[in-house]
Amino acid sequence: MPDLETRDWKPTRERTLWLAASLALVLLPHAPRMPLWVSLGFVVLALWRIEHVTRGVRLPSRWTRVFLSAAIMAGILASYGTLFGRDAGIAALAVLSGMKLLETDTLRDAYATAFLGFFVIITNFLYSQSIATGLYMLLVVVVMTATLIVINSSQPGLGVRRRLRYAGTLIGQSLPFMLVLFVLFPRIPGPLWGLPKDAQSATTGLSDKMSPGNISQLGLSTAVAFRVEFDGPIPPVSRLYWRGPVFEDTDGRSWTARELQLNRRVPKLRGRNEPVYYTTTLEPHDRHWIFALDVPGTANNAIRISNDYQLLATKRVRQRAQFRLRSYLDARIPVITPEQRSASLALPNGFHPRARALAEEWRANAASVDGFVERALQHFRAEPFFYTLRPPRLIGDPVDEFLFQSRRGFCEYYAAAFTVLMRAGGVPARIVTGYQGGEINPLGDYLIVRQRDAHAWVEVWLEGRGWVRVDPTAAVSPQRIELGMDATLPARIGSAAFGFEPRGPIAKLMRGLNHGWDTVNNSWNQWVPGYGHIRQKGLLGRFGLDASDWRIFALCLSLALISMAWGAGLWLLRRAPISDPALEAYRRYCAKLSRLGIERRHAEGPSDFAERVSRTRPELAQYVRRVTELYIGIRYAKGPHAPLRDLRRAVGAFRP
Amino acid sequence: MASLNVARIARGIAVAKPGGSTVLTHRRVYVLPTRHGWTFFAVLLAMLVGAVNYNNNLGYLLAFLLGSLGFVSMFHTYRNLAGLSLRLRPGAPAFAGNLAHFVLYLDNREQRERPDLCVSFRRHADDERRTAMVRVHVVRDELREVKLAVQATRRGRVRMGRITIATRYPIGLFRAWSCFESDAEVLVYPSSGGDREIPTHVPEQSTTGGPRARGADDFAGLRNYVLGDSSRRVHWKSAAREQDMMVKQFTGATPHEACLRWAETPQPETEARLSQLCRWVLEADAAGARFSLELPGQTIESGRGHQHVRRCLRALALHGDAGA
Repeated sequence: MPDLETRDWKPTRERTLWLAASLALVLLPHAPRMPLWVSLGFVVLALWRIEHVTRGVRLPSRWTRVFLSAAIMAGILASYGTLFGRDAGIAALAVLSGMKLLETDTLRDAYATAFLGFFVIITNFLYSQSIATGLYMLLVVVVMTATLIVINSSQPGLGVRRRLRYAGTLIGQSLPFMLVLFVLFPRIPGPLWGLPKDAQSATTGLSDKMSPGNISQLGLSTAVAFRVEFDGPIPPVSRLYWRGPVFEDTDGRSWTARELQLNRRVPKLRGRNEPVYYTTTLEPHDRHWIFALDVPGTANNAIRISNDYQLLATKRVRQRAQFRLRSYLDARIPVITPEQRSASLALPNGFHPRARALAEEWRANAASVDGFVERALQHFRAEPFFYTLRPPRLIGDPVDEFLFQSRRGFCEYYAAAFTVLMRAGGVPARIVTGYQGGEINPLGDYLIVRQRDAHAWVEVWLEGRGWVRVDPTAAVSPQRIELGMDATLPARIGSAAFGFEPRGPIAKLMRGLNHGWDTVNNSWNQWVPGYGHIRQKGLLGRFGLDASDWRIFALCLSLALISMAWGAGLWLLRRAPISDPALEAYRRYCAKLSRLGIERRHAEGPSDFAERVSRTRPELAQYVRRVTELYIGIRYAKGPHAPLRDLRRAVGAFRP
Repeated sequence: MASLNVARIARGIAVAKPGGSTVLTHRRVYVLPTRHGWTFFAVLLAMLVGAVNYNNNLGYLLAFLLGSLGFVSMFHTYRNLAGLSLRLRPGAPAFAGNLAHFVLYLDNREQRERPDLCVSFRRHADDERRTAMVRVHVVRDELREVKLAVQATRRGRVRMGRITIATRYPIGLFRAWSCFESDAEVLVYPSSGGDREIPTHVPEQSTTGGPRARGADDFAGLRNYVLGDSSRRVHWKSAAREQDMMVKQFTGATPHEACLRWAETPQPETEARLSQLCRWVLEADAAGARFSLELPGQTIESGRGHQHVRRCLRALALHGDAGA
């Protein structure tokens, strides 16, 4: 019998159009990422089908279709070099959904095509999990649901809007269930099995090699590197040095990091006082680096600390990740190993002769190591050095040319030159890269650190005090350290080109909007794409539940779902409210009589019914007559009639 | 949820009170996923595994949203049927071999429409597997009549048998259904058959005069075809014009007083005899004659007219039926 109910299904024009349109909407965000022929292929196949149902254009024969499918696969192989992996797989799905649309002859085909569409939605999330993507896909789900209604129902004469409205109602009613499932569904840290190689695209960030020019590229990128929420007040901007890769080895031109020794425990620190606790949300950069405030004091299963006090995640940060960190702002690193000492004193032979000579002269004249360091800083302060993101190219010895000729550069230049000077004067020194400062979002009360906040500074070893941070860039351009990158740099390339300073009310407004948007974005990132094992544990913990016990999960989830299903059942299966209050009152009256065994017949009008009741049950005659009179008056009288209230009262006057 | 309803299936089906209507209360409506529903949930499972593997929270959201959509749609499907009240009324008596008609009343007292109701029923009295389906869209607060026809095979009474009313509205992932059985029955007369001419017992008083009886000599007009009429008498011209089948009537020496006796039918089998008697009754009526009917254990006095014919045909239909 169930077969009989679907046997009369036909691939009508309306159904075809809905299917084609919803598939097109699903594939739209993929279009810029796919070769043009894939998008065109889908469009041609979809149009072919539409023309077939509209004008009876012939469909390709079975063999042609087989050939077409093979050609598509060959095309994918030619474009991507593989049939597997994320990008090639999605391109194949896109064209094949067009093929499937072409042969949608039965109800089963139609459902298969629609389900394929649902599946393609999820592939979009592999590229973006932004608010915009989320909202767009919600819209697409509504359209797809409307398509399911059109496929399934043969109810005639419904417009696009009514279909969409009903689909919207269905989705709207599904949202609470979705939320409960989302919050309570147990999250496991880490993937079930390996991810395809192209699951993450290359991302920008700091590099593990430093040579002039690298950081200037980051300097203007407003992309977010990470966001930080402090447990307490946000420390002053000038103290926010986010420690990243440390460079000790140099060949005279570029600087590279040494191999790191990783520790599970935090080595000892000198001068540690009250720690600063904070949560950092790192944008994916496909490296192990975690940028923590200098000096970091966290190590656990997920985080290791290196011998030069860098934090490193045990797994590459391929997705936005959250870390709970602790730092000691006043502490110093008290350790230097013999290897570190020799590495941080080494200078390549034959490089920087003038810088070396200068440093040796200063060292000879200085009474102490401190005086020598101060002398070097004084040099940057007194001489005409300029901070610029577009320094002239250095053709000869990069340090000598910078120190004695160009005198223009940004943090990397200063850090490299300063390190060379220190080493030449016999003081162990190394370059630390990372980020400096950040932008406080007053709305969300958190800090945004962007790629343009990338920075490089120097650490020198002072006997008895440990590694001391020296920022030679600060000697040149103090505001830069006080106020962050925005003060010294044109905020945007565009405004620099037009000579426009971002000040005044419009800039203020723009900044406010920017902060507002970033707050929304940040909350979204924290709670939607960033909702993972840790956050779930924290959330459940607030209700006193232990998220590591699966039984608690099972109990919560089933309790929540059962109670919601019960509520939904009650709500959905309630009688639809009657929009006609007079009729409602009249029905109450009928129901009362029905309790006495007097049923109104289907074809019986109110007057006839009243007459019959009066005849059979004379004691009810007065009541019946009164109600009927009022009801007929309200419903049918042309002139003035008694108010509805009277009818309600009349109906209520009698209790069987 | 679906599995809860499975248990109810065993509990039997709704049976209408005699002559009354049946409301499809929540105990009588069952819901199970359709084949497409199962496929849908399989796709969701694949999505969920993907979301877990990629740790993609928007993927989780989508899988959960669609899962909830399926769940919510179950209620909508169920609601499309629940609360509907059904009543089956028998139509006019039919001749064996013809269609017996019933009218199914779908009474929607609620302020919401109920689209895509599939009413399936047995369209052949003897064959459970031969079913027919009518698709109905009931608007809000509507009493809808649906005509159902069953091929009557044997004389007696024909019941509709089980009616299944099902719906997959709105998105076809679930099917809600309810079975309904009513005691409404249509009387089935025997088919008219046999080749013996109507026995003539011309009473002595009436030799001439009175209305001319109809027989086989002169053309007198057309009447509707009844199963068993000789094909030689069919008026093919009107049949070719796609009107109802008509049979030519002739006037002749048919008597206007007849006594139709069981004993005078030539056939040995009961059913053939009844068919012969049925034919005689129809012919006598068509001729406008008075006739009486004698069956074993039952005699119907001589009479004429619509009521009389119905009485006689009813006696034939229920012959040998203990309940008659």
